[in-house]
Amino acid sequence: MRTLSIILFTILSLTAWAGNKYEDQMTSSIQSLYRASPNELDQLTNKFNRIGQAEKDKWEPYYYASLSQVFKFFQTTDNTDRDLVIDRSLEILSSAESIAPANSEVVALKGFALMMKMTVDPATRGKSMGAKIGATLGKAVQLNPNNPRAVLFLGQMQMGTAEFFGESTDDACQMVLKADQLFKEQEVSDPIAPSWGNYGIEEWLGKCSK
Amino acid sequence: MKGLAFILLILNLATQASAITISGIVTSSGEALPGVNVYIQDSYDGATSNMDGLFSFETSESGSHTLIVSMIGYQPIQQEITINNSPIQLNFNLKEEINQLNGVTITAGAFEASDEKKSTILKPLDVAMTAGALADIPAAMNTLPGTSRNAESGRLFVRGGTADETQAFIDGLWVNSFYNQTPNNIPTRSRFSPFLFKGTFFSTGGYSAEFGQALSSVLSLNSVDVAPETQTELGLMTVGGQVAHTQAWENASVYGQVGYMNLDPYMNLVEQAYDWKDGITSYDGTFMYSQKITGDDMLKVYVTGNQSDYGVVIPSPNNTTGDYVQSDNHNFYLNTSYKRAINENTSAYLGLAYGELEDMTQFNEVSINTNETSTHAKTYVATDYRNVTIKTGAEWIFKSSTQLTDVDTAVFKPSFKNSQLGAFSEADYYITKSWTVRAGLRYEHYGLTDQHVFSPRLSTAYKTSENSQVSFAYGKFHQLAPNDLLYINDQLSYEEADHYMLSYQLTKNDFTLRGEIYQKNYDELIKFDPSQQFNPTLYDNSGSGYARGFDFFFRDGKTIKNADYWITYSFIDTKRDFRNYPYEVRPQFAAMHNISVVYKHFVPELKTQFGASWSFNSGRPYNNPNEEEFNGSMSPNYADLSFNAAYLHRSNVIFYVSVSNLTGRDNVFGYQYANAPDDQGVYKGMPVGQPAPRFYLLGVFITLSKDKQKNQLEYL
Repeated sequence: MRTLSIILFTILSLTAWAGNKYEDQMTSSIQSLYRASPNELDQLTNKFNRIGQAEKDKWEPYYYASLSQVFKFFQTTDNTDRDLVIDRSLEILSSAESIAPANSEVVALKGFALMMKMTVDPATRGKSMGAKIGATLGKAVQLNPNNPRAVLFLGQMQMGTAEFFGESTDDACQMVLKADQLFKEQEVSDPIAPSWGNYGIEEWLGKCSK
Repeated sequence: MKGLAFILLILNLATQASAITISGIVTSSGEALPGVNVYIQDSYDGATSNMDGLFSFETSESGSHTLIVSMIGYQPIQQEITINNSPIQLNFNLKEEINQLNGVTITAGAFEASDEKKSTILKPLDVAMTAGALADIPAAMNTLPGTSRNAESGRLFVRGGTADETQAFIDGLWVNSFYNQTPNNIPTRSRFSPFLFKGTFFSTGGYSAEFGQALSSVLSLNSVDVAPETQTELGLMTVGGQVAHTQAWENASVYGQVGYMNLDPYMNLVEQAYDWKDGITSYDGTFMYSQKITGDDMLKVYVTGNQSDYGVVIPSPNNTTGDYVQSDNHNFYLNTSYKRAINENTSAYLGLAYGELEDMTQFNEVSINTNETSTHAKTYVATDYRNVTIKTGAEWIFKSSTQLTDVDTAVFKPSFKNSQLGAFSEADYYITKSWTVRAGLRYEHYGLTDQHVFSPRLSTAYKTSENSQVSFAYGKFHQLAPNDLLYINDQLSYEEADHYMLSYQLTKNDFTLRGEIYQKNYDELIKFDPSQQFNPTLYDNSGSGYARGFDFFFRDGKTIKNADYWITYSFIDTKRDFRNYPYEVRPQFAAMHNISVVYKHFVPELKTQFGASWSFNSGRPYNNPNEEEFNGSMSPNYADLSFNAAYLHRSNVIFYVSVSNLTGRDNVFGYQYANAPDDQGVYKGMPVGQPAPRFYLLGVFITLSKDKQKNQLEYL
């Protein structure tokens, strides 16, 4: 009995230790994500990928590895490079997708990354990618209607379309407002859960208050 | 409890005491490589190499492990290491991964429109939105270099070749009847809508061994994949209307379309040069089914059919009342293909196409019934092995054609059946990131004549700088003799052409500049004696010819804001001795100078895209039987200025207007002469002109979708 309990305890403590390591490493990396330079973002992608290949059943490492490339995309100006960066982001995200195919966060990031890819050449890609982006973001909302990112991105996309065609932005505004509320309610207790995305939301809200 | 504490202590010590440093340098071709991920497999321990290629990390692991060195675009290294008490120092040299994604694409003769691939010259919307082309694929291709516009035909004539020498393929399968049936000298359109294709590949020569049965050029179309959205589309035009519905599921979609066209009301309103008894009227239907099986495995079924008829009186030099031409045409085409990944590096393709054409034409008192069936079955396997891609396949093409006339047919039997086997293998070798070689061989066996023939192909591309490249292509091409000649003698051998071409391309930001020179040699062309046109024994393959020239293409999408334009110029020097030609002479379909300017301008304030295109050809030869010299006369220059505009009223409503030949220029394409001389011994001539000075089109296109996005509001 005693031997057994020692073994059990050892296993438990080892697991706990490993779990802490995962959380520690993820949390610290996620924290540094938001202020990283393109070089640092590449390093973070590498680090998240390392965690991903060690933690085979977790989608979050690949999600953040992909997100790091999305953030790098924001800091890249050359269109050819922007395509390479966003393609890499999408490629890494497919690893997260195969682990968690019906995860609203993963699908929302995919929709967002596709939207960024479209912005590289909107005149050409708008028509062919628009429907796919809409469908992807729609699926993300459907999987979790309380995912603030999914709701916001879909709202932004609708707003862009409505503004371009001079149509009513009411529906889009409703989504942006809802997203804002969801961001505020978002639980911050889990440091690994995605919490990004509300940067610049005021600007979008401003368009709606007019 | 003591024991437990002890174990924990040991564990604790174990994790702290054995931190071993692993460090080293990663290089590639002697240069430090930053950004490389170096780590111990299945652990968190690792690091990214810095600007000097240096990496260093500590690990608490011990014993045997696998160290992975990886970087996107490079071949990863896996190395077994044993971690004990001493630091480990390791250096790595990563090799660049070279494959079709980052290797040089061979561009000689190739024009590609696609969203997916980078550095394509055209975009899919270009095909639909070129002014004057009226969403007709071959008309849009006619603005590209290498083509010589024959506006009275509407077909593609490439680098001194006949229209027959350009063949169309859909998802790798041959389309026997690509164009609609129209009377002589009334321009035709392709039967296929550009909106159903995600990619268009147009080659003016030197193309892959995968394609046979085209002496000059191939037009290869890739149909759209699974549709993302369920929607209904309505189109209403001055010449007809159509309804299409797409039903989309997660991994499959079905598309169905019906259309009706009737030119009568339009022709009653806008004056026509010919006396239309019955303007072109057609019904058409298209069905598409796309199913994604797993991963990228895809099944596609494409079925289209149409029925069209017309009746017209065309002025003729042979009689004062003109020629009465009436036609009733049925066409059916099925195209189905299945593509599947066998493993990570190998994919297989299986395709089957079947076409049926039935045409009943009444020409004055003579009725001509044409029946054609065509079958194309094809399979191939493509394998990537490191930096080599090999595609090997086989195909079977069966074509049967019969033409029955109520004229006495005792002299000849106008029908033939040809069963043809083909096999091909081609390797793309990405030698370095800036040098690609493609070598292929094609084999064909012609059932009619029991002939075997090999067609070798070779092309290469070399990147001369970051933005420029040179390509060279060579190939031997074979094609079955044209239908009308096989009707008379079905023992004719295939025709043959050799292509040599050298191309330079510069692509920078939104500029593309391409120049290409080529030489094409024709051999085995079919000749006959025009005075004994129905004598099969006087048909043989003794003809030959050549075409040489240069093409120039410039596209600029940057200089003018919101505008995009391209300019092409083609110089074609060609002569051939074929069919009824008495000697080698410039053929009637090849103009020496060919210019196209295509301009598109989007005005955001008006939510409208404006387009203009200008085409110019120098005169083309025609044969005046009153003169000694064959093809000795020259038609005047041809020019056309066309405009279009698309107004995006709402995200789902588009208004479209188009005017072809805005200036109403009276183009004359040549002269048609009477079959026999009159009393004075003169062959009476008549100009071949346009069916109408201008062509106007108005349309409105509406897309109705359930709008998944808006429906999402329900969930909130």
